[in-house]
Amino acid sequence: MLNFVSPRLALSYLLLCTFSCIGVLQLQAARQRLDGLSLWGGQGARWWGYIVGLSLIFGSFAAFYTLAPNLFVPGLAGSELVILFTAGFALALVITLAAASLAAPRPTEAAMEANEGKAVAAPQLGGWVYAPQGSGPFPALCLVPEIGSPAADLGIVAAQLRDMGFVTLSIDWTAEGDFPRYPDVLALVPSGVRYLLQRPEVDRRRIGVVGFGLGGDLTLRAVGADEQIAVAVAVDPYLSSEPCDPGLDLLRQRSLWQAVRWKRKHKAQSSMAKQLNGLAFLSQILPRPLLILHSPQHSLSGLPNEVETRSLPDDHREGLPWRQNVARVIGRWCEEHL
Amino acid sequence: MEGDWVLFQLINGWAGRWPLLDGIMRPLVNDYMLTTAMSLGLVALWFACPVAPHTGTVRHREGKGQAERERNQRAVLMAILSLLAANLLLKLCNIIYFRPRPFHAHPVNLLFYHPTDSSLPSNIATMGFALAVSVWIGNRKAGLGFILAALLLGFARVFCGVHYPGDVLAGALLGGGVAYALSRQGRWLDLLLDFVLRVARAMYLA
Repeated sequence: MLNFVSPRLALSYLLLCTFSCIGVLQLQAARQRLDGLSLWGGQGARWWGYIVGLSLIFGSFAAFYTLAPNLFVPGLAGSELVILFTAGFALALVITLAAASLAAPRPTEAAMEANEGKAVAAPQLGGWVYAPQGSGPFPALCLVPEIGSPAADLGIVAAQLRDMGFVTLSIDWTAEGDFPRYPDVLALVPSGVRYLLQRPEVDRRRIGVVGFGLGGDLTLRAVGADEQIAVAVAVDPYLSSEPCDPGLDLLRQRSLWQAVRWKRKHKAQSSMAKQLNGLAFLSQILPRPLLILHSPQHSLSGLPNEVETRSLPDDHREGLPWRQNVARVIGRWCEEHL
Repeated sequence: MEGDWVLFQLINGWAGRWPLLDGIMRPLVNDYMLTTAMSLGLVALWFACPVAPHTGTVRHREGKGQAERERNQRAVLMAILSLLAANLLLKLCNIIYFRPRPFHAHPVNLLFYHPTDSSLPSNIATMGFALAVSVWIGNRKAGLGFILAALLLGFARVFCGVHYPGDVLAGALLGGGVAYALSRQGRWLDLLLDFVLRVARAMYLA
């Protein structure tokens, strides 16, 4: 029978378990870079996680031994300890996941404006354009973000490519509302290319398309169908890979809420990757220059020899478009081939 | 039994001599500190998900890091199962055999309250070693820490006069034996662990 000795002792032990479990979660969030388990959404220095984690663990034990009543007389039974620890752990998990979700950073349009992008004012096309100073003519790149992701994801990449001398258009799917459907999605890259061709400072013979994730699959498909596009870059495309379930890894750089949305989106993306079937369009792109940047874990076999493939930089994280070194690789390759 | 009593006297004889040592042992011997610390260790082990530097995007994450994480999480689940199974066997032992506590039969230096249940096997050593051996089988480095904690727990029990060394040894054999036996079980247990890991993965927790 459970009687928990006294409500005060039971509550004290529950609080010990809750706070010490939060402490352990903070240590692991800092050590394993699990932003979705960090009380402040992984923002700020990692050593804060160690300090807060250790403080919570030692502080809760000290408080328990100082404040809890009658610790050295017959106390809680084993089964009661197990129940209270489980409840404390569950409470700690809920508190941590909720705090991380509230604190998680959200990319906003302000981020795009901070990178000096200008909103595109064209019918049936949402996005942001970044133009270098001067009258040109400049080569131009149409950036296609992961389908279903906002253009803000590519703000840093677009600004960096602009600084390297490219007029850069970052297409925004989310301007149209929900997750785009096939085949409607096929119209987006041609719209972007048409927009770039109308701009006076753009060199019409030097236009490229750079796609990220499923946007990479769409890039292969669109460039295969349009001979005006001179080069194509696909960054970590799906290429018909099967959907996966990364589990805890999703809490790296994501809150729980964002992870739930990612998973839902990923299923739809995997299904669209099959419909886009980017691999089938490689032969129509060649002999134009084509670069595929892929994850080290994503083996690319059976590609034609003319396709240039490179492994993504080692230190990249899932928030790929944010990584400036990816932009550098793309910019240098385009300077060479465009 | 005679040897058990001699060894008990040797260890328990240190109790009550140095207030500092008594002060350290008293929190260690009670039911909260080391048991909670070991449980926190399981939480830490569950969320320890080392990722090799050459991992890809989350869509393609696999390889050494993921395999190691799964091994850790299986060890945690095995520890919980071992704890439950060892607890059942322990209850059975207590029904079959009752050994009086050392303070009932001899004058001892008692630094703890008077427990009334059977002295053999030691409950806390059974639980501690069930956890420790399960973790050790899955992760040698973390398991070593758990085994040290279980040994400390057993030693503190004898030091404070609530168990004979033989009780702790019997608890260690019972708990460790159950953990080892469960780890040797085949497919039915794997199916259960696979199911739990799948559910946890769906909830972004594995």
